[in-house]
Amino acid sequence: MNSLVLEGSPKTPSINFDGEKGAFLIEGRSIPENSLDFYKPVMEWLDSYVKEPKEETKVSIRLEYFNTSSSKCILDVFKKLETIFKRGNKVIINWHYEMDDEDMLEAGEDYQSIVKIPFNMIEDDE
Amino acid sequence: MNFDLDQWYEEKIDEDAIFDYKGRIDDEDVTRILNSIERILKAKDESPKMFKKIFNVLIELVQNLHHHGEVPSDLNVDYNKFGVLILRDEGMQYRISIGNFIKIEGLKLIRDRIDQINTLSLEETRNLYRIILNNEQFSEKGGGGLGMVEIARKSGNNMEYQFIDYNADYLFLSIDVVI
Repeated sequence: MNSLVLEGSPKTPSINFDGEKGAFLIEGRSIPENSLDFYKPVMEWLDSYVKEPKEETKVSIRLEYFNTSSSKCILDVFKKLETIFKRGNKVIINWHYEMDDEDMLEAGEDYQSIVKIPFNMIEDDE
Repeated sequence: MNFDLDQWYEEKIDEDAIFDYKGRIDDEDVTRILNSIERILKAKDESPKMFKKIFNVLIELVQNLHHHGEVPSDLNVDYNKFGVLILRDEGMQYRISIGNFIKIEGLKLIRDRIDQINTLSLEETRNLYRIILNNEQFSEKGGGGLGMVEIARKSGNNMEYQFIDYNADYLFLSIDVVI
């Protein structure tokens, strides 16, 4: 399976989904005006991945900011991964937040309350 | 007496105002506004926690203007997204004021929404956020109805609003958020 790599910009996160290793990273800021446009290729890539997923998929989310229109798209990413988790594959989400950023921790807990995949909440030092 | 936008705007800008903008709110303007405010807050050496709160609320407010800022024809401008934003440092708190024109028929929907959110406790706001996040609907503008809830949740304060008569088709809506 190919990888999906999108370089970050001041308003969009960098995406690095390694299809061979099953290691996914979303990092930076996700504050585009139209999130659906930005996340469309991500969803399409995931549609292919969920057909032939790795035995284990490790997702790291390391976001500084995200807007509410991105928040639905991020949930859609998790929901796609939830389908392979429910089929018995191992999926882990590592939700990173900066030290003392309770809002970002809460945002992770929001997703944790909706999605069945196990979450690790990881407080980064800087 | 018709609403005088320029006068309204001027009255908002006093010595507490640390940023103000009135005009087009296209994609590139949203970027420029956010970049400018980020620079201003960083220069003030604001705590990372407060900085993030302000920035999160700003993102939603500015993008709200981008999605909903109508342009009445008598404004005589050649673009179609208009808005006003003023950031004030009031010492113990920051106040963000935004203003935009809305079609009169949109009044009830927006007023009811803000009134509803203003009655909620922080925990209720969080629950409402989760409910909206998890429903499948996405508005055509991509916001999914979450923006207002997020603003209330991040600021922890009620939104103060005012609808001002403008002409037969439009009202001017101003919203203040205190952080």
